[in-house]
Amino acid sequence: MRRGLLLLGRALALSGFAVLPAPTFAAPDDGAALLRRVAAAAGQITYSGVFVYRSGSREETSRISHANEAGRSRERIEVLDGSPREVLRVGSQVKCYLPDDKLLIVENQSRRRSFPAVLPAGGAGVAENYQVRRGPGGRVAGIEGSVLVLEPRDEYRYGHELWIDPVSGLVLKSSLLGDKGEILESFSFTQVTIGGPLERDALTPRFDESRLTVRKIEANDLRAEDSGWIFRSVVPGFRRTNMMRRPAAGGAEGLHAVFSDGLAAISVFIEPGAIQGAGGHVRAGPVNVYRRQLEGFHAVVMGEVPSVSVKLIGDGIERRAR
Amino acid sequence: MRVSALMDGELAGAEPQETLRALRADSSLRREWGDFHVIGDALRREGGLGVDITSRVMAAIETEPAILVPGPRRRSVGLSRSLLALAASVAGVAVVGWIALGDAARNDVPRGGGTLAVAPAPTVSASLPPRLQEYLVAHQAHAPSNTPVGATRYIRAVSAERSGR
Repeated sequence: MRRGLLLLGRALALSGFAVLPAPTFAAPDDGAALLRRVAAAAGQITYSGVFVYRSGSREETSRISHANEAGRSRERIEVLDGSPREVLRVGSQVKCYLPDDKLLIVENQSRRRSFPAVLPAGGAGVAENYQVRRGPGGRVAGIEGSVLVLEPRDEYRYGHELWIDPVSGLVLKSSLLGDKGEILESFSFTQVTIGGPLERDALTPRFDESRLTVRKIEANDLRAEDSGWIFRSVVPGFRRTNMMRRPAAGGAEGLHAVFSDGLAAISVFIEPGAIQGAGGHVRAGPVNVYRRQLEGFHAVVMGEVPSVSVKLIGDGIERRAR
Repeated sequence: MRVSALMDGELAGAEPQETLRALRADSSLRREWGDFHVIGDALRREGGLGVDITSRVMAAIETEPAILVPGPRRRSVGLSRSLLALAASVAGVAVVGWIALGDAARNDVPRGGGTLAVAPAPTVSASLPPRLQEYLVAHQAHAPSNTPVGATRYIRAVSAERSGR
């Protein structure tokens, strides 16, 4: 293993990546601390590779490239199977290209948070909600990875298993596990090059934006007291990280609140009008959705969490008395 | 007979007994049949769905008690589409109506937290309907980005795409 790391180190040095003096992610005392460093590393490392995304019976191969340009992350995912689709993230803006539907969805994260982030990166929140332990190492994309197992402490979240490159901290493979240990979803690199430089147009989308209908969403931060809604039910371990106004169908104004436990996230969308189609529960892959009709409004709760969690939040939504 | 043919509902015309005999041979399917216990209980309690469908399907299932694994109840029951097709071939009725089991908005189904012993069965599909698909993009975009899983999670937003191809 040591010789492999030396070879890897040499290869990385040749490719221009700064070689760390020791494999800093190989033998942590504290799993939560490792997670924090992994989360920070993802935004810093330049990498490019091919990964397979599996969800239920779906399997799709995609190419991903990431670089940090002047302190801002820029990444591009290009789906290689089936209809061509891409995701481009530049700093706080995410663009989803769906050319077969002639659609480009643009979402902007608000640059200014009106309240501080409640959960630091992979910090205390994760250790509170998941038991973090080491697993047996495994080889992914030719790299001997360190394995972290994040076991949920209760039934409100799913478990995770992460294979981490001990030198760079890049997550090589990750699986989302259900309550029976079944794999709900997994991302796994089949080949990856860590360190730059990237190919010239690795981060440039292939599609001509002028041929697509652009649906651009601007979300503005909102204080909870001004939102008009109360969330009576708290899912254990989840704290609200965002509350935004966003455009809803037909020009109306909607609400988007985000809750996170440090790893998983639940979104609540509340908009005026009736639910279209059936309410209740829907699931696609690891994402559970719960829809509920309120008086004059409807709520859509979704997240990569068990259905009991989305239902709990959904059932606790109340109009704030004026 | 190949189990995959069973799962694809290609044996719709076959004898229920044949189908069930093959089921018994496949242990991975037996686990899922345990879900029918939950569904059966829920159907009896809810009473909102057509009584005809309920009794005919339950009668067909109950003729083969050995198949039903009285295993631990799962917290959330998700029936795969292939399993529904299988149920249809056994009972000789369209059981697509079972999807409505998770439909809390139906007026004729009594609501209330105590009605079901487990979390309501979700409608399971390979991809979300278009309107929900757009919410998923927003969800991915605004979820905390500083999680260990990192950038690859954006694939979810475009993977569950509307055409389901």
